Amino acid sequence: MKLWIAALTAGALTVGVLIGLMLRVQRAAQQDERGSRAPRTADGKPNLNGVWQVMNTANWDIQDHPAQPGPYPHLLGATIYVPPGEGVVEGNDIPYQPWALEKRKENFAKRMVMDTEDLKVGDPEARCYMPGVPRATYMPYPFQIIQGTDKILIAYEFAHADRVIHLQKVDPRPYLAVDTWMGHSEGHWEGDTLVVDVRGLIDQTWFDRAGNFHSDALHVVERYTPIGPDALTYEATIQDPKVFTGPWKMSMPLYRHLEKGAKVHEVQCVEFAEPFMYGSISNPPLK
Amino acid sequence: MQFRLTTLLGVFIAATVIAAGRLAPAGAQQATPRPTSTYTQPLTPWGEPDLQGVWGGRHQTVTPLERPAEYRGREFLTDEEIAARQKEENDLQAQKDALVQRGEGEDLGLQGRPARKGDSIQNFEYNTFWVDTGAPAKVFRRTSLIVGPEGRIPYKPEVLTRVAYSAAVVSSRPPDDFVNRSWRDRDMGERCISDGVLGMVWSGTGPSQIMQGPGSVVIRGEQFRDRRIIPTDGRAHGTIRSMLGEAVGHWEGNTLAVETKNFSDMSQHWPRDRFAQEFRTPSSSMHLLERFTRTAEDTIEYEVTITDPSKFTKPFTIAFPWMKSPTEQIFLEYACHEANYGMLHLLSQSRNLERRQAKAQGRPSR
Repeated sequence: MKLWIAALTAGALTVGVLIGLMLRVQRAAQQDERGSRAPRTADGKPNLNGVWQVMNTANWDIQDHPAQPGPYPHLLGATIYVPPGEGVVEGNDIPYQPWALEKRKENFAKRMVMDTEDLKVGDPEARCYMPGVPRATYMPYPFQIIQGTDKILIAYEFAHADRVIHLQKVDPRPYLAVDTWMGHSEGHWEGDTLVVDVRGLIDQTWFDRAGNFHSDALHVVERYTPIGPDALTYEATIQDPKVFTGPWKMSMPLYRHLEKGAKVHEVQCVEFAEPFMYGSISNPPLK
Repeated sequence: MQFRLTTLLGVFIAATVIAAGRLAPAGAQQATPRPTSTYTQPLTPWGEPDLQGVWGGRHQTVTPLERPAEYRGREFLTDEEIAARQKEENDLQAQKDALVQRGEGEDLGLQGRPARKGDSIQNFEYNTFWVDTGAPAKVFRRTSLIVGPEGRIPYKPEVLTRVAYSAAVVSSRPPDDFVNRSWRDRDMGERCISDGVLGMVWSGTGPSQIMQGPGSVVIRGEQFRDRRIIPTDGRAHGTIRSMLGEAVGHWEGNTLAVETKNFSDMSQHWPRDRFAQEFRTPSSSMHLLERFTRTAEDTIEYEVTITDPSKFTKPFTIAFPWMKSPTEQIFLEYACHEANYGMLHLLSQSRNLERRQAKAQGRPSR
């Protein structure tokens, strides 16, 4: 046998073995990663059951924002102020149509106004209205995912709002007959990602306390992707041709509550909103 | 495949459980005794009894809460009585359907079910006539939803005066010049908050939806969006009080047993409630023990034992089946507070009345 053939064969064998080893190592690493990635349900899907919450300031403003005083510094001191934070909007810009950008500024200026003649003025959060999608996700309160067999319930603490994500086929017509605060959600799995299509949303929810808003043409596509046993990436693509010039996207991690006995508590925030909403037309009046 | 194996395993486990006789037998405690031997409790993929779905509750039946005088000493109706009363309900539904057919459905409110002789105000929701499930109300075997020989709420004597007062208020019309000083003069329902946990199982003009995940059962009431998240992961009660109380559950064979306590004292929150029934106004000393047992594809036998030493001389138990429609039931969002223009109008009108009264009496108005 000629020496060069032997050398080539040996070389090829070595490369082959090395490639084989590398592939095995890589596969093992992938399996490890997948193993640590997310617990599985009995039917093999990522197990999203648990109590989750964001760790960001998006409810104040989904865009980049500096530290600012809260709405009533003369009443609340430093107890409640606007914490600075990076936004959750990809690229930071929201493609508002010109009229809508003006409307957003007006919303911000009137965010703490309660007009007993016009309930559409002001931030709906102050009145304990259901926060809508996607705002419910990044309110500074926990929410629980209850993953059933053909439906998933997301139970938010704020305003005890919740929504059912239908994984099986349902007739959407009765759900879309009237716009709702939390919309109609249909979900499916794309690999390990839960993709949720949300339609039928009412035009009265906001994205944040900064007055970012939408119309009744809002269409949200959410993606929940496990990135570890205790963390998810949440993405929401926003489309609303009445308000924006094109689609845009927000993205943020969700963290699992690890404390023993973590739960979503019952909060009846209507009671806290009533003095704000009805105080001026009560006797004696609340100012 | 894994799913199929799990299902097979589930069927096997369920069969074993039934063979072991752990399925609660349909006995005197149950409102509609029915054979359970042929029914196999389905399990979730994670191995718990599957109660998921949209269930009708109290509003599906006409059985009164307390036993009417005519059935004193009798806990159950005879087959003939059931047939006769069911015919009445079927006829009533046929009348309703005919009205709807003729386009006069909006008059249904005037076609309310006439009270039966001996009924107490406790026995029906004030708004029973609003409820149209599209099917005749069901007549169950029980003569009252309260089980046991007495079939009455065991009120303490001093509470009975409050019961009489609220009955009188319910049946009276408020004066036209009634002035609401604030939102607190209206009841919790008009404030779009809740009718409380017993209101949820008791009055519910809408259905309940049970959703499950590993370690959790959630009961959603359509009305008020009442929501009870019930952990079944073995945790104990904490100390935090809330309006609907803290519910903790566990499985006893195929039965979901739920213990609820840590209610906040809401008696001050129903100050002038024209419709609230004393027995279901939560107090901080209330304690509930509920049991949910699925005995057929379309039936959960439900019972709740209510203990509250501040109101009752002893615990008492209410039982009725939750029934499920064979088709998927839609469950809609209840956005009451979000559009509570009624409250704004009530309070504005009250301020107007005050201004007018002040003017008539020559007092300065604000």
